[in-house]
Amino acid sequence: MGGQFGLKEDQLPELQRDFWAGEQLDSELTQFVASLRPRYKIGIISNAWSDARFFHNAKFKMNTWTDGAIYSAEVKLVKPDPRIYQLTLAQLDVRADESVFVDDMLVNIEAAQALGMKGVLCQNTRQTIQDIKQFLGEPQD
Amino acid sequence: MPIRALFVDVGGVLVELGPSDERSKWAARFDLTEIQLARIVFDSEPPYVLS
Repeated sequence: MGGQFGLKEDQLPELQRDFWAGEQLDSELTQFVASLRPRYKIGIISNAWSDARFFHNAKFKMNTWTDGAIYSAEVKLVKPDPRIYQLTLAQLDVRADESVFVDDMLVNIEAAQALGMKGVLCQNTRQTIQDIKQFLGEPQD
Repeated sequence: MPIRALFVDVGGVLVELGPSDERSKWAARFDLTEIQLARIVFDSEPPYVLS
């Protein structure tokens, strides 16, 4: 990414720090997702920088309410490459047709659906929760 | 087939960007809106990953 912006190597950490300074969890969606455990396994599939896992776990304790996480920079694969979904499915030992995938990019959803996963395109919190509930057969609000 | 697992993206789904003066400065530096900068950062990888 540094090359894309013409940044020097030592400027990237500065951009990373500043960029994520104001990030915050969508608490409503996060609480809903976390509440699904242990009935459902929860996994993360993220296209992110190599230290994103550290930041997410330190700031949001993401490792305490998920069962596994795949970060693209760690596995050298990025969504929508089908291999990153397959890695994640294997990590949680579930089949594609036993899973729902949530993303805000349609191309990533379509790749997951091509493997047999159910897809939810996140456009806002309420719609995302309702769409997940529909796939899970949970009562709608 | 019953659903057993939910997989979720982070940037743009679980994590939202709150206000940040520093981010605004970076966006201006690249002549981007903050949303454009976020889109690039959320879905960017070090070059070696894409090569």
